Parts: sequence; structure tokens; C-alpha cells
Amino acid sequence: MKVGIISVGFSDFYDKSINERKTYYENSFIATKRALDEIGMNRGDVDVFVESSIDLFAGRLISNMYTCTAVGGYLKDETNTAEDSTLALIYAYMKLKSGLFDVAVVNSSTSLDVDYVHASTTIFDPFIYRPLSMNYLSGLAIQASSYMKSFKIKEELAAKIVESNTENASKNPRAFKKKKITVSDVIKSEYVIWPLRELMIPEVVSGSVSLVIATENIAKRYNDAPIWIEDVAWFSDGYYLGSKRLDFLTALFNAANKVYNKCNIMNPKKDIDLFELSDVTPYHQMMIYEALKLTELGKGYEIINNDSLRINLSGGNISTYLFQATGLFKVAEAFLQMSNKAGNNQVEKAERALIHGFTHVAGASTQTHSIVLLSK
Amino acid sequence: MDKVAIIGVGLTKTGRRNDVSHQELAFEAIKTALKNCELDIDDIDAVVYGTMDNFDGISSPERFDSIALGCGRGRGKPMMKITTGGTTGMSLALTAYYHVASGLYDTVLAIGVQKVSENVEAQQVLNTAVDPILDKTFGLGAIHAAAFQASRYRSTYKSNIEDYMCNVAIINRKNALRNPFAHLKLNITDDDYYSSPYLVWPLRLLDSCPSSDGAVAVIFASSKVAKRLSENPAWIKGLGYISDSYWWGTKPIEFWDNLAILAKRVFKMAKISNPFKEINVAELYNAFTIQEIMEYEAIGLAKKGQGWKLLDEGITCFHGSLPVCPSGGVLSTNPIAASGLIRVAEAALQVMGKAEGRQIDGVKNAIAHAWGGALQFHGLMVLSNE
Amino acid sequence: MSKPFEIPGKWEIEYKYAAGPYISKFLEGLKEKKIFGIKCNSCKRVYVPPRMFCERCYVELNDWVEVKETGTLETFIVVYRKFYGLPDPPYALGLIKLDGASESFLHYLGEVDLSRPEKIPEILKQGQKVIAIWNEERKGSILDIKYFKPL
Ligand SMILES: [Zn+2]
Repeated sequence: MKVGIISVGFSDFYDKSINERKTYYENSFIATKRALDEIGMNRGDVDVFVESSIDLFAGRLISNMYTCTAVGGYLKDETNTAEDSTLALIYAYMKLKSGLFDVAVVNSSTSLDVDYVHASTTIFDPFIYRPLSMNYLSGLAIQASSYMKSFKIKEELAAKIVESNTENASKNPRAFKKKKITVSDVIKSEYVIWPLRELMIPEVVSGSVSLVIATENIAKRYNDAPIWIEDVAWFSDGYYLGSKRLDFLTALFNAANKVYNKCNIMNPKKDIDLFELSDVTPYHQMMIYEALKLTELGKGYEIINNDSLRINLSGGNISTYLFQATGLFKVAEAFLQMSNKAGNNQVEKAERALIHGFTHVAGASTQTHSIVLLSK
Repeated sequence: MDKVAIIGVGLTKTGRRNDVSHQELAFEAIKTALKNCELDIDDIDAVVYGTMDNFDGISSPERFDSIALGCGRGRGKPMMKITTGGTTGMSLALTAYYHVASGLYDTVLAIGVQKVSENVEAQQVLNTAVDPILDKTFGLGAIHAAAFQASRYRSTYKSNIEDYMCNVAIINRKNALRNPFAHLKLNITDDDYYSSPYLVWPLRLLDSCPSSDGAVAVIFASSKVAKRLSENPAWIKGLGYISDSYWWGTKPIEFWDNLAILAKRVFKMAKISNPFKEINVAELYNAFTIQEIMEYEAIGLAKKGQGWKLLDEGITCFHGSLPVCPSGGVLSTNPIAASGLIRVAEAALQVMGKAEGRQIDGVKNAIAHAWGGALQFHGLMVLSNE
Repeated sequence: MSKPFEIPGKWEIEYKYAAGPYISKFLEGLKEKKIFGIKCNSCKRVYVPPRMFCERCYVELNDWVEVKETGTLETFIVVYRKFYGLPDPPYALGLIKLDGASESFLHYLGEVDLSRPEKIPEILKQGQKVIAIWNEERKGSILDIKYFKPL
């Protein structure tokens, strides 16, 4: 039984400079209502609701107490993952695959009620890492540093990735930041945590994204050309920095192998048309290329985003960083491209897309990676 | 759709567990569950993990605990973190079920870990759940919400409901004496109950659950694997979850109608037409005494406003015709995010005939329940020996 | 093995909660001793506190109404135990359905003798009428209403 995406909806996105802030669950309502209205569906037509909300950043314990009805789940089957929202989509997909349900809403909202770096100091064990003032950026910096050293990567190469992502953003009507950042802008920006410079680090914006997914027969009633979920995979690796490779994304590599084997993908560069990758830093984007086997180990810099290999048409995290809602934003962007509804940045031949999700509260290094493979 | 079963359970000692870290407590539960069904961590395809982070003072402790989940070896594991408040444990069971029922995985481990004793005051943590702009200032926590239920039930249905709450308090603590994994094991009398102080009127100290540390691991399997590995697995016949409004005024307070709606759905799936007759044992989420009585009614074991009658007739005590919480329930042991999964584990042990000192004779069907949020979430599961 | 350590810890995370446009208008109203609700034109319910959407009908709400400062006590509790970090006992809380509103909301009950728990059922009654007692100084907070007083 196939499961397909039939609609997407976005709230408006905000950064700290905008005062007209709504609550995160009001944004969930706006995004979901738009997704349902788009295909003339009512909340009563939906069987299950899955959100991705992380209590620490919502500033409320049990943060889905508020989103559950905002997404339409009043007296319905509803649940919450505390992960990147690709995993909420994956969970909803499993629920439909079980044969017990036909239609699901998947939603994720990001709030700006807290400073993310500050709050993330609590995600470490109180014994070893927390006393060292670790935060989610320091974990990323350790990986970036390790990657640079292992493969002698110059920072200009990382800056090029930022330039490429932001160039895409300048054409994407839905990207939050549309200003192109050049290599020299990046190199001139200050170090935040060496080797990460300010313009390498995505800034969190608030907003919400919703998807509606359905089993085959129902999907076709609401959308002539649903975008099918061909496969999903996710892996998590261990906590201690000393116990694993820091210059390679093993969990993502394992997820990619699983999907490639199942879907007979021999040459991902050729077999997949679009890639939406979670560029938490440009160094990570290079590591993602390598884990996805788009190139050899240490050669991530060789990958160039062009017409034959489209990467982050959305503009990447650097342009629209919705923290745990980022994964759904990327899936939604791929859906619009594949449905020929992307607008200004529409590309030809978008038959198959790979979306990479990364759980951002991921311990001392990026522990959990997920993949959603979409096809027409 | 393929059937899904529970093939193994690992419970830990509960109470104040300052002898172990979060990670070690998770390891203890997992190791026990694996041993009980003669599996190795490498046989586990995927892991579903739950904690309500704030109680333990580690945000996203699944990262710290990941090495206990087997993520640190070999290929690592597909691991998914679920947080839904008091229902978290039940949500883990449901999530593990869907991992298998979807056909994606054959053997899935659900693990709930919580160290409630590591915060200074659980109600202070619970107070961070309620609306921070309107409700937080009133000091509302879980006990306050349950007190509203007791107060309204008292005024609406039964002015001496306190006498029945006393019954529930005593029965559960007595049952816990049979359970080596229970936290509070109290042999209490009516006098003890009535001399116990009011915390939030009309709830007394003995109406309330303790703050416990504890973990539980439950292994779910496809029918193919279950039949190969287990002689008498606990089959999942029905399951479901319901979410209601956060807002206090949107839900009736004296009757848990959201649970009543869910129970109808789940019993229909499980093909149970008369729950009172067909269910042999129930593990209900009784964080507060009044809730057990309200759960009888919502689940359809008693009429609305008449749940207390089951206590008059001794039906729900250990030797009654429908024992409720032979484990001692949440009233005896409450490691919050694990508690819902403990209900599932206990129900599975009853069905498998492995509940030892707390085993009820001749269990064919058992149910497990959990509630969470602002009296707004419920999960329910029916387990059966066939 | 040595005795296991206990490491003290404390989270001090500051939040700036977005109240959103609906609760913001409600709080503005309280400054002027006005209690705003919002009406769902689909199911005709009036919600206090107001909200962006009707959870049942799943439509956006825009029909603002003012409700009365009097209402009915739907249920009540009395806090007797000091919980660390929470307000000092004893105090009473009620779910109050204001006249003109369809559903109750949470607030303090004041001017009630709480000294003897066993007397509570005689002092507070389900269905009792209550009235808002306002703070002299109001700054756009739920505590601009000091408490509700039984009539
Ligand atoms: Zn309505």
C-alpha cells in the first residue's frame, strides 16, 4: 500500500526583529488550516495527527498539550515526537502503513520564546559534558573541526556552500532570508566557536509547517498527483565523542545504505533529482554528501550544485532554519517542486527527491539522522 | 495486517534510585527484558524511547542514554523519542506497535525511564506544563487537576466519595506488597487514611502517587518472530489514543468522556462487546484515587457516577472478579514517563502468566491505560493470550 | 566501588512567552476591567479566555464579545500543602463560568475561610454565584483580577 503527500501548508515565518509574534500553537493552526483548505479537506476527514515539538524550546512541559487541537486533533488520535519533524512524518507514515488509518496531518512549529544556545546547555549529562559548558553549537564545531583536520579542508570551501545555498534562497519565494551571502562575506564574519563563523551558523526563525498524507486511494481523491513516500530510514549513534568518528556521519551513512538497497539506488547522483539536506553548518553539508555517497570520503567540496545535481533549492537551513520544524519545511519544498508548484524557483524534471533530517538536540554531536525518499 | 505481540518485559526496582545514573537505570531495564526473552541487543531492530525530560533535569536524556539503547555499537539503531506527558509510556507502546504493524521492523524495544526523585518538587515541574500566561501563576500541577475531579465528582454524584477513595488507597498499597518492583508498599488502615493530611482538598497525601525513579523495557514483535521466540506471547488485540483540549472548561470534570470515547473505539477494534465480563484484569493509570473510580466509569465497567459501587462489591480488589492494578498501580509507583509502559508490561505479564506473586488466575484479556496532559490525553491497549 | 555521587544542578532558562494576538487583547481588556471572550459563529460557543480557533469546528474566530464579571462556580479546590516554588497555602482555586461565557476558566477564590478543611463543603458550593474583585493597579495580567468572591 502506497502513502503519499497530498498537501502542505506554512504559517508566516518570523525572526526576533518582528514583534507581531503568535504562540507556536497558533502558528500550528494557521499552517494546518492552510494545508487542509488547499485540498478542501476538513479536520473530520483526518484520522491521526503527529507533531514534533520539543518541550525545552517551547518553554512548556508537554508542549503538545497546546498543539494537539491546534492541528485539528480534538478527540482524535494524536501524538508527539521530540525529534526533527522528518521523524514525525515517518511515524505518521508507519501509522498509515499499519492499515488502521488513511489520512494523517503532520505538523511542527518552532517558537522564539527562548535562546536556543542557552537552553541547549541542559541537553548534556550533568556529570561529564555539562560542566564543560557544552551547547548544541559546540558539538557541531567539534565535528567541523575534526572534519577539517582529517581531510585538510579550507574554510573557503565551506564558504562556497553557504554562497550556493543562499543563492538558491534568493530565488525561493518561501525562504525566510533571501539575501545572498558571498564567500568573502562568510570569511569576513566573526568566529562564534572556531571553526564556525557567524555566517556559517543558521539563525533560528519561528514558524510552522504542516503536511497532509494519505493512503493511495484516499490520496488520489484529494490530489491528482500525490507525491509518494518511497522509503524512509533513520539511525542514531552513541553519545560519547571519543567512541565514534567525528569526521563522518555514520548514522546518516547507515540510513542511506538502507534506503539505497531497498530502492535499488546504485548511483544516487543520477537516480535522485533533488536533495534537501540539513546544512547545520557547511562542513556538515560536505559530510552529508559523503554519507549519502554522492562523493568519496573527504571530497565533499567537489560536489557542485548545478542543473544536474540540485541541492537545497529551498535555500537550506542557512536561509530558513525552523529548528525541529526544518525537516518538514524541506519535505514541503520538495513536494512543491515535484508537484510543479514551486513558483519562481521551479525546476524541470523533479521526479525523485531525498530529504535529510537531523535531530538538532542531538547530544554532543549529530546523533540522529533520517531520510525520506519521495517519488512521483 | 499482521498481528503484533509483546514477548518480553524488563522492570527495575523503583523508589529513590540514586545508586544509578539515568543511563544505568535504562540499561538495567533493557538488560532484564532481553534476558527474559533470550535476545541480544543486536536482535533489536529499532528503539522507541520516552522520558519527560524536566523531571530528571536532563533535556533529551535519550542522547546520554543512547549507549544503553545499543546505539553506540555496530550500525547504531533507529531510535525515536516520544514525549506526551503522563501518557508517554503508553505512547511508547503504541509507537512500538506501529513500528511493527507497518511492516518496517520485526523486533522493537520500547523503553521508558524517569528519575522523578532528582527534582526537588514534582508539582513545581508539572506547573511548567500549564499555560504560562494564564494558569501558571495559580501554582497548578497534576494534583490540583485531580483535586478538581474529586471535588466536582463529590458535588455531582456522591458526597461521601472520600470513603471510596480510602478504599482505593488501601487496596492499591496492599497489592503493592505482592510486587517486588513497587515503590510504596504500605499496609494501611482506614484510620491511617483519614489521619493523612490534605494536600489539595479534597485529596489527601494517601490519595496521591509517590515520586519514583524507575525504568521499564518492553519488547514488541511481529507474529513471525513472536511465535518463534515465545510460547505464550501477549497479543495486542486493540489499541488507541485520544487527545482533547488543554483548556479546563472545554472538558467535563466529573466524568472522563474523552476516555469513554476512546474505550468504545478500542473495544470495537478488540471485538470486546462487554468489557465487564470479557476483561479479566485492568492496569489503570490511577495517579490519584478518584481517577481509578472515574476510569471504571469511562471504560464502561460501571455506570456514570456509580463507579464506587464496584468497590462496595469488592469487584476490583485482588480476589475480586475484575482485579484492578494487582501491581499496586500508579498510586504505589510513579516514574512518570515509564508508568504508562509499566501498565502495559504488567498487563502483558498477566496475560503471559508471568506475574508471579501478583498473578491473577485465568487471565485471557487484560487492559492497560494511561492518562496525561491537562486531563486531556488517554491511551488504551487490550492484550490477549490468543 | 565508591558511594555514588549526587551532583547538584539548577536550570535557569529564561523565556519570553509570545502571548499571541488573542490573549494579548484579553489582557489589554483586563486593564480596563473588561473581560473579553470570543464567539464561534459555527457552534455559537463563547470562549473565555479567547483563542484563535474553535477546537471543535476548526475555524478561525474573530467575533469578540464582552462577558460579565459575575459567574458560576463550577468546581473548587483548596491547596493546603506548600509545594516548593509554588504559592503559599492555603488558597482556593475555582473553575468559574462567567455569565455570557460557555465554558469555565481558572482563577483564585477569595474572602473564604479556609482554616478548617472539613468545613469546605459547607463554605464553598458547586453552582454558587461569584464576582470578580479587581486589583487597584492593573497591568495587563490575569492577576488584574485579584480573585473571585462568592456571593
Ligand atoms: Zn465552534
